[in-house]
Amino acid sequence: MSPSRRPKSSPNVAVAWLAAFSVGMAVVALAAVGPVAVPEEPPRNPHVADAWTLPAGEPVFPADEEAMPLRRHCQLCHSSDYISTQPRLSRKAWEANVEKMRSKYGAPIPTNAVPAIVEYLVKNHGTP
Amino acid sequence: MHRGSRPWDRRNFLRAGLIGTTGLALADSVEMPFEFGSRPLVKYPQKRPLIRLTTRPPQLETPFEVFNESLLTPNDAFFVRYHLGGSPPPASVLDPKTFRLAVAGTVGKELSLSLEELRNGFENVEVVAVNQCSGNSRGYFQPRIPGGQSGHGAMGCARWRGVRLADVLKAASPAAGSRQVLFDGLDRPLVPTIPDFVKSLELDEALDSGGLLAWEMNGEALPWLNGYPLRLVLPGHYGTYWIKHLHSVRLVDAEFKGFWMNPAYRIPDDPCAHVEPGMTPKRTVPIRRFNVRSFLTSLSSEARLRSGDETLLRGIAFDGGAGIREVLVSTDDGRSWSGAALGRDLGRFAFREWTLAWKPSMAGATAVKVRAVNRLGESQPMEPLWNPAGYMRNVVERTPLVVL
Repeated sequence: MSPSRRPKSSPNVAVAWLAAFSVGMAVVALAAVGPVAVPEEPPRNPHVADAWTLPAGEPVFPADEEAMPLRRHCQLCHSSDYISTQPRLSRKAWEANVEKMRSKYGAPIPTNAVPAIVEYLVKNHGTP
Repeated sequence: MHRGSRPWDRRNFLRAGLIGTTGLALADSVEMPFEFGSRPLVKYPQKRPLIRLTTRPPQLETPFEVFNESLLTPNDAFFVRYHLGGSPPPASVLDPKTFRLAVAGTVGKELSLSLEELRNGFENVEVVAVNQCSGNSRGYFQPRIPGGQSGHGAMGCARWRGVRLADVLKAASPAAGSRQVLFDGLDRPLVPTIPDFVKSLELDEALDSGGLLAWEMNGEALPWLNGYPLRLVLPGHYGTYWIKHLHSVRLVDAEFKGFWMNPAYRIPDDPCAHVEPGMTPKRTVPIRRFNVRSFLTSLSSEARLRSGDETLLRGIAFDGGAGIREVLVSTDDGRSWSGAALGRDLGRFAFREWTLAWKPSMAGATAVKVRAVNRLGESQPMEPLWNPAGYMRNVVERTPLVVL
């Protein structure tokens, strides 16, 4: 399927769902083993998508020369806390992770950017 | 279950809190007990402030004290885990009036079902089941492992409501030779070279799994960040299979080899899914079902208790679907063990409450350990097991305490 790209629905949906729900909710037996059958009824709370926005702002890599390759190539797909929360790893482990991102995961990181990315990771999150 | 409807432990928890640290999240950040463990508490739509592990794509963790509030994890505290840069999908693509689930591939009859057609066309069922991230507790692995550095809060237990996956698959008449079922939701990449988040199950497994296509969680529509309007619920299985914003179920006659089945989300092919730290397993298989876990929830690490005061220790246990048979608790750091009382049985896939009254008699440092056994006799190791991806931690957890 292709999910709709139309702007969000009218509040009528919410009203209809609430009205249908107010007919009454069945008391449901607890599942002792696996799923149990229950009467049909529409979901309880309405679609409140109007308020669905993510909190503003995200952590970014520093605006210095060293971090520039990460700003350019890593931050496209993920915020910098994907790195700042990582434990210290060996150079070998960081090299393997960048390579995994590139070759297995398909991150568009040019080969000539890899050494500088690894240097930054080793310097900031490398094992002593 | 309603929050606060149980006398059990509220008082006990508060009292412990009055004389000691509780880990209660009053600040706007929390410190996980491992290096680089500082995390902000951030409020998202339909959520109370949660522990933010990562911002984009979002990974939010449940503050651990929530697990002492109720056996069903409230929707506004339930953990969130996305994989790809384009996530979460904006509300504009999640219109319940136009959202369709496609069932296609090697089927006799392709289906395109609206939410209403799903709800009205198939028997509606409910199950109480734990969802747990494969990497829950990864931050505690030693040696440390790259990946999402979760504490213990990437899990939760909810009552899910929907229709049986098996009923929908059967309605599409799987063709002879159909081998696997692929599930795709709207956890999507920004860049076309990056593989879409797709998971597969063997067809037999999908038919027997007890899986649901669920639109409801704890009596309410799924929250946006937990997969609105429809997700796969696969009781007893790790969260990686619980595809959010599910829009496509596709049958195929070959083995699916997508990134998220191989090399991602794989474990060593041995009964304990482990290798010696630092080693690489010879063979791997896709991660599947939960192992046995248990936690003390009524007291947090370094809580202070008074000698002679009785306290009701309380916690939770769960496994991959056999059900919990027994919970053993040690109040002397593992020297002796007592059987805890098990609480109400919400089903074999649910959190099982355990309680044990304890009157500490000796002042000094001690530790509580908890160890559950399931109905197959499977339990938890006393020493942690290690694997290269940091999945499936289930060591007997230890909570250090101080008796005054």
